[in-house]
Amino acid sequence: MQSQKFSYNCLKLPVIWVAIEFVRLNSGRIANIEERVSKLAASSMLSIFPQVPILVYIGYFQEIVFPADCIFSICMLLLMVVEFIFCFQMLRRLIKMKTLSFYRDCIEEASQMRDKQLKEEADVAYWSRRKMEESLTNADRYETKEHRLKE
Amino acid sequence: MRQRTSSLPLAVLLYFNVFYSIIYAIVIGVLVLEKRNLRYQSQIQQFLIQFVYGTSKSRFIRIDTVISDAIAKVLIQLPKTTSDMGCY
Repeated sequence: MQSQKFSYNCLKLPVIWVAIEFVRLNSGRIANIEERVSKLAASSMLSIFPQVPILVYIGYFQEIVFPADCIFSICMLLLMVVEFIFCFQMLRRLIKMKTLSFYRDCIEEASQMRDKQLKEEADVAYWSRRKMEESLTNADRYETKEHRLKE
Repeated sequence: MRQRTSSLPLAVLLYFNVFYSIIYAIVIGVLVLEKRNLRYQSQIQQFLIQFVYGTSKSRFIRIDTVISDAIAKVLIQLPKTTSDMGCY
């Protein structure tokens, strides 16, 4: 009974580790190709938890620890630390780029709106001036007509 | 032209990590089976265990020896003569 319990405990963590590692690596790969902040952040977060604690447990705190467990876990931990550093650098760069592009889009949008407003104002001024000119010419015509009639 | 922000070192590390993870998973799986004491007596499992856990009790098994042993075991179990098969 106890051996069965031990065997299940032994199996649980490696299975969880494999499942999460697949998700982590896949999201990291997609984030690197498509430059996605959310997926890259998810990948780096998964590296910290639960992957590192599971690796430490497998390497040092199991009931029976083989030398191979320890060596492979240390190599994996080193690899994950280096990966996390690069992930973090890229995340910072990506966030900076996205922020800059957002501000640039905002400025472009504001300038477009200003141009549109100026154009509308210019149109309104043109048409009102034209209307005024037309009314003036009509008034002139009317006055001349009246003047002729009086004469 | 827009500047790309993808990281080459990260891509290389991820690529390497995929292979390392597969190897790690196999090794950890084999070691867990060893710890569970669930040996299926398969030669390839014994080979992997001895490959990983180098200072094993018995001699280091080479893969060609494993294959030849397996073939020999199968051949021994085959009937040698027609009388063994129950024919006259």
